[in-house]
Amino acid sequence: MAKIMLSNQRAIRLRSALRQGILLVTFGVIVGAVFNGLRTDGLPWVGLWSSSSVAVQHLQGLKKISLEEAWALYKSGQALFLDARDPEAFHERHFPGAINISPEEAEAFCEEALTFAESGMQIISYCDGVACPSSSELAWALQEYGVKVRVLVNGWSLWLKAGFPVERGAE
Amino acid sequence: MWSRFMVWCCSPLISLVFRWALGGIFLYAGLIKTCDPHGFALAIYNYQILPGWMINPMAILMPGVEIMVGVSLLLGIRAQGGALVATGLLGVFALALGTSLIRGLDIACGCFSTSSSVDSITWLYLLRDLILMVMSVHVFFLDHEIASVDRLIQKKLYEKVNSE
Repeated sequence: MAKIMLSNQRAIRLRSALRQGILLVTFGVIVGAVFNGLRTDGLPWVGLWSSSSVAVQHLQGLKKISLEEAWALYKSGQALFLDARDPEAFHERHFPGAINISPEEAEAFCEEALTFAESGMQIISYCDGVACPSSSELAWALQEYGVKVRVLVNGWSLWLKAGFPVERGAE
Repeated sequence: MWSRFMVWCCSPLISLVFRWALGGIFLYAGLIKTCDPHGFALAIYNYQILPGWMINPMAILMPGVEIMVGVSLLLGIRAQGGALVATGLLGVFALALGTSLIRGLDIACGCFSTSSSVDSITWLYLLRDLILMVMSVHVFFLDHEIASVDRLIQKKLYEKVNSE
């Protein structure tokens, strides 16, 4: 008897929590929709999301470089690669001679980058994935300090697929 | 020793601390995402789980739900429902993180920042999520409605009925 009462109590408690949860989610949905509606730069309800459209968004105002051109520059010793992936991925493997720089570190690196650029090196940023934003963000950040950077879109995957050499360990 | 630990674990004070902590975390996360819906939409896209047509509605609506859950837990308004929704959300986040880690995606979490250039997800992010999930389950089962608006309203109603 006591067991039945206890399980009944539990069922009532769970039903009540479910009702409360549904109420909270409903209010939350309304709050989210109202906040977005009130914003001048609110998000449209329907958006185009594909790797190419995201890449286009990231690359607006930046110069791209093809894999072939990047490879030719590397072979002639004129390429300086900036790896914008996270340090862990960088330490595992990276382009030969690449430097691991996050967009936040661009300011500290800009003088060094300018020196490289003045010596005739082409600075090329890369990350992993067509839609990965960090190489574009790094290029943007360095451009603000007058450093010309070209972006190798989906660089890491393309480089590996082409079977080009990679380095392991620290920069 | 074990029974002592269990008594300590089930104490109302622990539940209150968990409730407030979760409330603060959800409120903060919701507000951050509400401030930058474009960044949050990109963070969702990077997980490569949802179809394209679901990304924007999710980026618009989810922060509102997080804010409501945060307010519910912080103030103790329908806190049991808040804990239930929090557990569900954290479960979904854990699934998204786990599958992304298994697939080897190098993406930002989008949990407490909408910037895509912050540190990439690691197994520690999943562990953090699971700890928060345990906390929300604790609140769901063991919350004693201490320092809650619900209890305050009940008390006022009780006093009113008694005075009549």
